Amino acid sequence: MTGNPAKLALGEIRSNELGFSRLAVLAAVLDSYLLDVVDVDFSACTWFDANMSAPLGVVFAHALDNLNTLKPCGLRQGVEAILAKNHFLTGFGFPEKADTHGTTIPYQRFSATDDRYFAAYLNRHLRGKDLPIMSEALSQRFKNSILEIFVNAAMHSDSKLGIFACGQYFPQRNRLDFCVADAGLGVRRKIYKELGLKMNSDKAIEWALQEGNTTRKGSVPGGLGLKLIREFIAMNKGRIQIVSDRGYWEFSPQGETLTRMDTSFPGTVINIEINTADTSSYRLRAESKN
Amino acid sequence: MADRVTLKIFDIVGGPVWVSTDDGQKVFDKIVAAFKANRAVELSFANRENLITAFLNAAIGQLYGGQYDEAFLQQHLAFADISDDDRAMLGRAIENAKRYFANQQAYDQTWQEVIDEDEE
Repeated sequence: MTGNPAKLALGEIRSNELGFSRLAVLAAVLDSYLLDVVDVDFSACTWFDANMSAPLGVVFAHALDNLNTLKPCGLRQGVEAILAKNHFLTGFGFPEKADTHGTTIPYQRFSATDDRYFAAYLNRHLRGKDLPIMSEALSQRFKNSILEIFVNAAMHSDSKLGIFACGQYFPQRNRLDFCVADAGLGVRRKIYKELGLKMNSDKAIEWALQEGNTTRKGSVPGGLGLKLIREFIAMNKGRIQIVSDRGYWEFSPQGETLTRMDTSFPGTVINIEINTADTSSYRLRAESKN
Repeated sequence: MADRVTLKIFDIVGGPVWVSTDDGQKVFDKIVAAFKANRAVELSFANRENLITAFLNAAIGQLYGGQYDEAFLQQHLAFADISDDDRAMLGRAIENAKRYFANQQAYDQTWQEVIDEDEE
């Protein structure tokens, strides 16, 4: 423990590879502190995508678990408003701010056994009068996708610090982002633990995306949830990102990216973004050919 | 034809949220218990609020793991009070289960270790 608080800086955070990389770097630096007081300086952060509060929650949870005291500071007015509206800052002594535009699905931390509580949270906040008017079918598929992601995280991540969730509607862009993050082993280590297969982080994500692949043992089949989510996102022309350890995967109308970040993120994050103006019917097809 | 018993998922799970594998397992166990008692099952999806494949994989998908053949399941398992969307999702879960159990070893063997010195 040092006399003066340590100071770490965080830049602009958007839902992209750079944003996730910056959070991974923050996590890596914070990892060297134990029983310390750390000022997290947001003065260089000119924008923070509210849904990215979920992976930031993972980063902070690891540091708090190491008995550190974290003090967010230097927040610009706009960024503070975003993080106060979605309740992220509430735990750090900042006052809550009313979500007057009704565009926020609040930041919340769940335990792995909270599946019903999580469903109630989604049912409550995705039904709100202020969120975009989506067709019932679109809303249902979106909700199901997020539930699949949560249940997968609960089942596979071994996250002792919980599962973190947060969503944000961007009305100008007709986009709704929702992020689920866990502080668990990461896909790569989980595959090694359960199946004894050593893989790089990016390859491990690719493995998890393949139909039929699951680290689950026993008689329950798996490997369908992500496939349906991907079909849905393709139909909706939305976007899905998975970050796990150093792996980064993104799928959108612009194409598919699979890469390895320089720094490891301490857990797994899935962010899905949907086009809320889409009016497709969203009937599940009986069975795709591939 | 075996006598038919109606099982309501809502009653077995104790609510309208059908998402976890554990809750799916409860439904699976009841279906198997009915089969053991020589009953056919009509599974009611009435009053559901949330339903996802993780639940269906456990509740229905694992019935296709070899214990019962498809003809038996066609004769002894029917679904009621189910929306078109949920029926389509159920169909996908069943197809996925059949493929999963038919290819379980192949899935495991296709992937070899892929690692380089960049990550230990």
